[in-house]
Amino acid sequence: MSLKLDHIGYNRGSFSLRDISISVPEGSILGIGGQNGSGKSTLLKLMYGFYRPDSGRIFLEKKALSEISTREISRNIAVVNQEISEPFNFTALEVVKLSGYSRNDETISPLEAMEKCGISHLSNRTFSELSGGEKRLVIIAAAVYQDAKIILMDEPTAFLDVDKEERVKAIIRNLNEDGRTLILVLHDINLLNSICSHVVLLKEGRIIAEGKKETVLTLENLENAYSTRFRILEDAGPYKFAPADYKLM
Amino acid sequence: MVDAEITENRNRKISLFFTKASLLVVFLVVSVIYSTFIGSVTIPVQNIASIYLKQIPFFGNFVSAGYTYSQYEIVVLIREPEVLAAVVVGAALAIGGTSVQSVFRNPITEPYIIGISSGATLGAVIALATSTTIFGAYSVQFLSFFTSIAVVFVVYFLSFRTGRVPPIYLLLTGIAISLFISALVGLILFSSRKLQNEAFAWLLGSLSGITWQELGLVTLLVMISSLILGTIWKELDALQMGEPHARSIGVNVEKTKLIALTVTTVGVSAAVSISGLIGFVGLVIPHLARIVFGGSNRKVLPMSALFGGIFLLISDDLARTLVHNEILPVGIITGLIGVPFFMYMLSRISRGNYVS
Repeated sequence: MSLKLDHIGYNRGSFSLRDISISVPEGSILGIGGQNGSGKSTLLKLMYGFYRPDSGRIFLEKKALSEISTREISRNIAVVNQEISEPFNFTALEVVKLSGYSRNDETISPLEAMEKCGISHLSNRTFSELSGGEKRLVIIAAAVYQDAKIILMDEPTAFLDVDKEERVKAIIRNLNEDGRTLILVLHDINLLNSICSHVVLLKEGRIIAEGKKETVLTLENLENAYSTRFRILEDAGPYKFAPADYKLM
Repeated sequence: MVDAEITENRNRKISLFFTKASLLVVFLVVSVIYSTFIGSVTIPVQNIASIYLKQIPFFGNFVSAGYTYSQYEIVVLIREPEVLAAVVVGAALAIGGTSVQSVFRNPITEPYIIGISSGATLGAVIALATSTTIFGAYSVQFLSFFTSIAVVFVVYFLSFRTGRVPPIYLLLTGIAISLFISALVGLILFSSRKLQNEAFAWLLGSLSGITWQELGLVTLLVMISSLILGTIWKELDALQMGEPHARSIGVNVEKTKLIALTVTTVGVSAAVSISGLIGFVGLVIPHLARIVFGGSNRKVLPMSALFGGIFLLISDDLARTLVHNEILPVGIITGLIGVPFFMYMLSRISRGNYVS
């Protein structure tokens, strides 16, 4: 299942995305990086049709996204949004079950999906009473249950403690090994470097670099994207990039 | 968890649900029957029983009439429509509240907030002020019904933003338009003291004097609207997770909101047209149903209807009996019971006990 963005433009007041063309390689983990307000989350919402582009087209396989029904899109694209409203008095299991809305056949049960994410013990707990990290894992389990070939995640590891961050990374890798394409919005450069195979860097609504992470994540591109000087750390495991001589203005 | 354990757990939950639901149904039926016994005129129980039996088609022919004709009239033409109207109106308001709270993902909304109450009031007041008779005896009801729908329509279209209707715009527009309409109502009422008295009763809500014809039509509209809402319970559940999430799992968010708001408006406007403004049912009852039955609309929609019917029926019984020889407007009673209950519920929510 391929996803292709063709010269996308999107304007909302002072904010705009301009001329965004991305061809998401099948089976890749594509990271979208950039400063706060560079348009990462908006781009993600365009990718599953929640926002409609003002110009350009998005193709899922060979079909334009605007011509595919909402149900059909959701069979192919699952989304883990960063902000989730709290439903009235739902259990975690009920939240996961909701994601079966468009499914025709059940290849995985809601509880199995929760088990895959290591949270089956939360199934009967009230969703709104869970911690932020537990809620995130429930939403990820819901996306797993949705069983789509492409999964979009907006800052999947933000605000998580170390244990949960590692678990989310492991889930992402597992999903990818199962043959799924993942598109992740990440502000953390070291996460882009450690879990993604491909990276798109945005700055002020435009793409400034795109491709395999080895070619995109260079000091020059990062300094351009984040308007900060970086240096490369040697032998620091997943931590490769650090801000250089940062001064508070 | 092992599979057997899950199945057992599931079965226990299902049977618990049916127990609770059946208790509610039994309670409703008993309350309906009991409510026809109460009133300013005392009628012997055996007479009421034979009046009931007499009304059963065919079977009624074999019942001997041990009651007077005026007793028959009181029970059949006054008490029965009022009691059933309490159930229908209560159910309509509660289901409407459930639907609107799901659409807005907001616990403190109710159907009135999108313009139903102000629109209905405007229609009723215009009908009273102009003594319109184009619809015969039901001019107040007809005008309030159609004005209410028209006002919600205006609110909906003023809330459009680039092809979508964001709940926050809908909410703010609803409140703004309601205030505007209320000012209009105030202006019309200001013109005549006689009108103020007539409108006063309508504003407080009352179930007395409802006829079988009105009740039949309203019941039909409420049933159709409730059944349609029942078919979109999954979509309403999904909306509670926020529109981006609902859309991502395949729900057509705008279509769901349009259907939910349209049928809710029709159902609630129909109910309000015969009852006047009865507050608090639409706000409080859905939460009661969620506390008892969990949050999914699959259960909350039908169960809030049961709770709403029971609540309004008991409120109406109290309205008819609290003060000797005087019928209080039922809206006063729902407010008096509703507010303390709502405060209690708020304290439960804040303690994190909003669980079944």
